[in-house]
Amino acid sequence: MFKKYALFFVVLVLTVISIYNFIFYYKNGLGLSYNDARSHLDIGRRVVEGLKPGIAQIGSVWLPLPHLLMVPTIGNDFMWHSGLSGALESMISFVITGALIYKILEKLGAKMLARLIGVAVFVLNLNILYLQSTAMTELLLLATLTAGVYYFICFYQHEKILDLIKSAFYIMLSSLIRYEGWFLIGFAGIVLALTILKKKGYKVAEGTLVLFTTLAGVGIVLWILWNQLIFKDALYFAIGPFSAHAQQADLAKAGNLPTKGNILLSIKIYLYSLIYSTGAFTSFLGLIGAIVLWFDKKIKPVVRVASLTLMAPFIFNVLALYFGFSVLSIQGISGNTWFNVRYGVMMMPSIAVFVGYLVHRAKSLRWVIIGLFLFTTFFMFVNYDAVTVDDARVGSSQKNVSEVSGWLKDNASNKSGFILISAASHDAIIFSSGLPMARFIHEGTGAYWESATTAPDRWARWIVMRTYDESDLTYKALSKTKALDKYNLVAKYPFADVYEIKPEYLKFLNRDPIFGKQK
Amino acid sequence: MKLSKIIFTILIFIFSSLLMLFAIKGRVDKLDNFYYQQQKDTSVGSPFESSNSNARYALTEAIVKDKSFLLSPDLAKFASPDVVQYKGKFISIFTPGISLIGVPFYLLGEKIGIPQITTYLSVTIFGILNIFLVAHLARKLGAGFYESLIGGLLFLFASNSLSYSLSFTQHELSSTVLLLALTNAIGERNLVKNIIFGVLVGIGILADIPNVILMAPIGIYIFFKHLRLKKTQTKVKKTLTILSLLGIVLGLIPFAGIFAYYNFKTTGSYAKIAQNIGRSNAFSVDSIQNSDDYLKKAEDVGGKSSSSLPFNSRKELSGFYTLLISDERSWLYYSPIILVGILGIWIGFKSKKVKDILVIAVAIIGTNILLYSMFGDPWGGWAFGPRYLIPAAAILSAMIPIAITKYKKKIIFIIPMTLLVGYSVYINSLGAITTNAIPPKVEAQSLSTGIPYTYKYNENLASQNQSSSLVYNAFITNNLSLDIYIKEFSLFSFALIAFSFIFAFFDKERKNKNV
Repeated sequence: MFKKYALFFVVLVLTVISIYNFIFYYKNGLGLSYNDARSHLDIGRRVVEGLKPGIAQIGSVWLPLPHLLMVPTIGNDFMWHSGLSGALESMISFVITGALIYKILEKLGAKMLARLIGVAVFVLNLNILYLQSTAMTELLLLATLTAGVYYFICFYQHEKILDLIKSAFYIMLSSLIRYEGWFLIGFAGIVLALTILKKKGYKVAEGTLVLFTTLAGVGIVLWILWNQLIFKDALYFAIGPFSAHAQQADLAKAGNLPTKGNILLSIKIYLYSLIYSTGAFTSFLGLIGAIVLWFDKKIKPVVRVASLTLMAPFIFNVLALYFGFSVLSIQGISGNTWFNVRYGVMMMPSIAVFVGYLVHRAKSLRWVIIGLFLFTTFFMFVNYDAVTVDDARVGSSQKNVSEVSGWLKDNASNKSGFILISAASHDAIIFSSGLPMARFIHEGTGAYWESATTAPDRWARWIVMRTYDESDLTYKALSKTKALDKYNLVAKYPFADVYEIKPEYLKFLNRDPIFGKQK
Repeated sequence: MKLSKIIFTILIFIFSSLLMLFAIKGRVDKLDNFYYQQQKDTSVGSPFESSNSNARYALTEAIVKDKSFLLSPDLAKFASPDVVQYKGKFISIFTPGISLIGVPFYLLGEKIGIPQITTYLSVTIFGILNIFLVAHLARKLGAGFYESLIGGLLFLFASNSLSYSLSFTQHELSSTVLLLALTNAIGERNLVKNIIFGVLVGIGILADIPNVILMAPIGIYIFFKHLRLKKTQTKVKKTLTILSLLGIVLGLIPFAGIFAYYNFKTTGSYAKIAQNIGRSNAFSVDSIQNSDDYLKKAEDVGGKSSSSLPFNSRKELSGFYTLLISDERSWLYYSPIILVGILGIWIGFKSKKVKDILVIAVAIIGTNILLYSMFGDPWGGWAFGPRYLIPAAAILSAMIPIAITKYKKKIIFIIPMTLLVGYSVYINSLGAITTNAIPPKVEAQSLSTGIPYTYKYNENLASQNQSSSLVYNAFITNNLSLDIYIKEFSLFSFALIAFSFIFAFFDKERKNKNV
């Protein structure tokens, strides 16, 4: 009876856990601590509300799927400002990933206890529980990646082409969330080509590979096309001024990208991130489980090879660090702060599967493994050991803009007029101010932005920018003019300064959106 | 047991005791025959070099001399930094078990003018007892008779158990309790066995609170063993079997009572433990630097104060490294022979008869390692080897005989085994006869004197003839260099083990069916 409804039971329990944790982090305010979480929510909101709403607001900085999925709900102020619009994706993904771990272990022949332990390893992780309560994109990626891997394994077990199509579909979705998905297409493609080539020859391998990559690669093609259409540069997302590449180039110039060109350091840093996110003992169990899985003759060799895709996030992240595409800081190891330490959780579903499988195979020591896992997990919970929360609160992934956003809330909410601000630099301020998106003139508002940066005194009652910082597009545009002469500096904060138009120029100010619908 | 085996056991006891005599800490001066009996000299190599011994000794002295569980300011200063100041009173930070056991030994020593030596002897007795407990457990697990004794000897002479059986700390008693409890778990359950288990848990808690965690796998096993009821049993018998579990509580109650009384007398509450109050800064002694002082800690989530437990999963990784790999403390550097126990476990798992106990043994070893890898100070302060892992070393030592029984005639096993025994015995003799106080790397590097953070420090002391051995300091110092003394001590210890091995090699006892 239980076996029949076990998956339903898993989904039910995970749903309750997910909701409870969202409420917990919503109440203590941590759900919005990540600077990126606020930016994701703002991007979604700009699609439906603002001076120039529309699909083009998706932009190029991040891949589009998380923001597109927010569109149906983000129009609601509560959904936007509570973060629930984005967190909802993470919460659903959390439940789906847990269920997929169960299903993968089932496919690998693991018994009920092992499947449930696999799910528990994933669920009883404070970093996962925290990230599933935020508008970050990690959980959505994990769900799609894990679904892709699950169907990939199914394809090898049953040799049904439909499974390969499903795998390609989910991997395609993951390629529209984070770049790990792009890597998985290549990684899974290589595994597919080599295994089919060995088993069925060149022609079948070629056909299968074409089918898989065509479907899985649709997202990438669409994204490149999008960049060409909107930004007139197919590779704008990769080499544009707001791309990760541009940010990493600045870091490299300042000597803050130590992993670039250093493979050992890249492996070390990612391992630390993985171990801190997962727990040292759980990681160790995962390693043993992976070895047991890959050398277990009870599983078909091709299935074991297919399960190598579980390692794709590890390889991707190490390579990203090595090539300087990514930056990750571990306090006490590289630098004195946390930054992007959450990348370690990308391996969580894989580790959960490995540990679950280890429990399945370790007959005599099964209860010892479970007991020791629960023992360390107990201390993880009582000490609230969550590096992702530390990163969000005191690490470099946080941005406490409460002073400047608080100023706007207190001084601009009950007065009319626009605020000129660069969304690329100050999305967190926009979000935290609690003001409607339509109050902000940012670089995505077309004619408003062009007009306001040319003659700010006609459009912007307030200007928020980092004075003297050329990377702030507002300052960059205004620094060549004498526009600021007509403004008073009314507040100065660590992240931005606030300028307010002098009273004598108020009468010339446009306070209503007059451009109508822009293309 | 055959008479020859009884004689052999007695011989092992006599020679082990003699060897321990040559390592007992102390000094004899011209002016004052037994130097440390009145003076509280905490210099390197003295019995009072570590505060974890001193705080316990101070409590013993307070009980005997002041008839109190509270420490006088002088004793508190001597015990610092392992002292707690609470409501103007000074209390030892440790649980009182070791100090209480030391009381009769102190009284005896006081009469003959050597209270320190006799008090410390209480721990040495447990150290020697552990040889036979390890051997007994190994026998239960199917190892040969002589092989089992080798296991016991390896635990005492080839691990840092040697150093700590000469101190006034909890490690030997914890190992004793754990070995007895594990042996207790073997076989059918009955009320008496459960009462004994309860007694062992009680003593364990009085010795050191984490013992209750280390004993948890045994407790869980025993609990579930009671639920494995046979269908043929009558209802009454089934009920009685389950009710016999209450024996554990019965055995535990007296010791829980002693502990509660001690707490009441010290903190004013039956449940408030001095250890949870925290160390006192009253004597401004440099406390152990917390390795993660440099790590920024996030404020408590949800406004709640975070746990006051000293174990934190964030420290797991560095703790693992310190205890299992580093040259500061790991078995790998200090007593690699202990790791042969893993091979013993591997072999033992092939036998269904002992599998249950081996599973619990693995659980205890795992719990021990995990628990202290999460501890803020896995080094154990200034210490010799992984002192917190001594209970796990005891269990692993009981597994080594299983491997010896199986491979004792394989040259490919004997040669590396001999090398590992030689190395481990020498290193641990070095520690026992010089000092237990080796600083963690993080502290050693910040010291102006720049002392090493490995057993190189012990070698330096040996080359400077700085011994902690009473016998050496009293009678040999002018005739023999300490370096040679240590080598000879190691050689005798090694010979005792080798001697046992020869007996094991030629033993015609039928190989135990369990192995």
